[in-house]
Amino acid sequence: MSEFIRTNGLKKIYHVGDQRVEALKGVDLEIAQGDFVVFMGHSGSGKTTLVSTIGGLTRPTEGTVLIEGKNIWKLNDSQLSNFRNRKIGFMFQSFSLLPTLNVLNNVVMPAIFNSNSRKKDTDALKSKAISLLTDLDMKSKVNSFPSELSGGEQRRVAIARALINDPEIILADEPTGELDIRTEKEVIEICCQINNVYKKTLIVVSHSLTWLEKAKTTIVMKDGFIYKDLADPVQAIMNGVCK
Amino acid sequence: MELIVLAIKDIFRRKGKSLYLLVAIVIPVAILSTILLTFDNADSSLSNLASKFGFTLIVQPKNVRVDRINQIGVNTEEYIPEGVVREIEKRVREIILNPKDRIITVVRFYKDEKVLAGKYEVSSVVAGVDFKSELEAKPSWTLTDGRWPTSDREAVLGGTYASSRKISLNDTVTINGSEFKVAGILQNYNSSEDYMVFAPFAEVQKLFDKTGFVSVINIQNVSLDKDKKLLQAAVEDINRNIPNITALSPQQFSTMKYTLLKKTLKFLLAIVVATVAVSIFSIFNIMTSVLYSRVKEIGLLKSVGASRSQLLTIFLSEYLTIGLIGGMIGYPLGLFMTYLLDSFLLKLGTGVRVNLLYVLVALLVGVFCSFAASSYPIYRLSRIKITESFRTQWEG
Repeated sequence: MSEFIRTNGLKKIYHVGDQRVEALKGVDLEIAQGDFVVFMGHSGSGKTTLVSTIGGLTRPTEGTVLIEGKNIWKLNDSQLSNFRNRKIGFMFQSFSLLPTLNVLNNVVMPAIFNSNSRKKDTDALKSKAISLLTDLDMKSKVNSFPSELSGGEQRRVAIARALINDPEIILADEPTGELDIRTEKEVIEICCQINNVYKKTLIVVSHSLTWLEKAKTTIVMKDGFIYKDLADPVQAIMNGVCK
Repeated sequence: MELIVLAIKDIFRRKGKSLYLLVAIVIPVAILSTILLTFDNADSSLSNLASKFGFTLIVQPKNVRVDRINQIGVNTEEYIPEGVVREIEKRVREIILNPKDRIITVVRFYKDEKVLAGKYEVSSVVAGVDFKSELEAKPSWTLTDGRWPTSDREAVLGGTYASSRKISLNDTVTINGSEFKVAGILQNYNSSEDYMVFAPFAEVQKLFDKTGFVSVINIQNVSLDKDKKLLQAAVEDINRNIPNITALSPQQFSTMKYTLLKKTLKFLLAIVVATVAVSIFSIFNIMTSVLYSRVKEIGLLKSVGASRSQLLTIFLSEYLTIGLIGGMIGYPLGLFMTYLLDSFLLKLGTGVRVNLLYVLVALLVGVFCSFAASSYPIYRLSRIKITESFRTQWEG
């Protein structure tokens, strides 16, 4: 697998009141195209900050994020928005659907911000959205509103929305948080399919050990650093590195 | 789905908050429309009145000021000696170009008096008129019922005066202890005459012990009608040479009558401007609170690729649409308020008419209020950091 995402000396410092919090302390990382990476670590270890920096959501204090060799933090607002729209599909733990739109419109929504998709036939976009929702067993809910859906169903809609613009990277921050075990397994299976069938590079942040069985790469973080020299990261996690 | 469609869908899904904003916009628009329409009605009433006068020149006592004319616009306190009439006619004759041109002079005597009309005594304006010369000057003056008086003890009532007091033909009205039989009911002209009691000129003078005095002298002349400069010359000549009187053209007279009203309306307009400013501030506060409750939504839209300009388009479209709807509702509400104001308070009698310019003004004010109040919070929020936005709570 070829190098697709690369971070160099990535630092992020937050200022909370008088306090200075170093969330990332110089992270160097490479992720290959088509990889399925799970970031693990205790709360405050910097994994969400790292992933949101890669996704163009949080500007780093120092360092670079290169995607296909291009430093995304050199892009202007419009170019960065375009990058997020076309290259990345996001899945969040909660608040990921617009309560004012129905399922179909929530899925189609990223396409309205895409200048290429906007030129396409609206019917074609809707067909694609329905096709994705059918794959995710959500066809019967296309006209429902988020408040009428269960947690698992909301995640599936978020997955369909993440795929609508056919991005190369899917970033998922705690996608199975607050879900019961059965639903968590369903969501993880879908994510595996996204990686295997749709050939997307999947980057997941999670505390759940269930992901470890499916991930191709596991990265453990602690105090703003990546544990690079862990012979067996799974064992390290089991031994309490991330607890 | 287009950006605008997304904005419109938001309005309908957030009915409560949209309605709240709508009301905040409708109120200043409706008040502004009411004032503008009433202002317009006063102007129309002014020109209607001027055209209905039928006189070329009006002469009244010098002391009559806007604040001393009564509520229906006539002077009932100051008088001119009757001898002045001949002097005025002489001066007009000297000024007009055609010596054969006829000069019709109509004098009136006005008095505010309690008149026993029907069962009750009511405060009324009694007009002493010479019916013959009035009809000569104003052939269009017609009765809806009855005939013109033929004796000294007969009167004619204004249409509104008679109908509001339920007085019919051959009923009696008592003026200052003297009874007058109602011989005719005058047609309504949407003027002060609709509210008057007309009785023979000399009788009214005698009743109030003012023989030899008049309230107003009206002159009608074709040459002066045709030539505004000549009319102005006559007005200036009379004012310069005859003491203690004021000569006016009907337009000037009507304008004077409405100066007070227009001043009041201008004052109200200033209040409306202040109200609109306060409203914008209130809408700003409402808008800021509504928008800050949507921070997470903004973060989500940005995360899926909405650029700052696209966010501005969505949110401005949403709030400008509400502003536009506010204007669309505010204007008819203003029309209704104008109707109520005119029917029960001002009684300008011009009716309520749709003014396309004011429709446009109402729509623009609605949109402007919305834009002025929403643009800054929207601009600020479009710059919010995505990760920061996710830390706030959803509000649907």
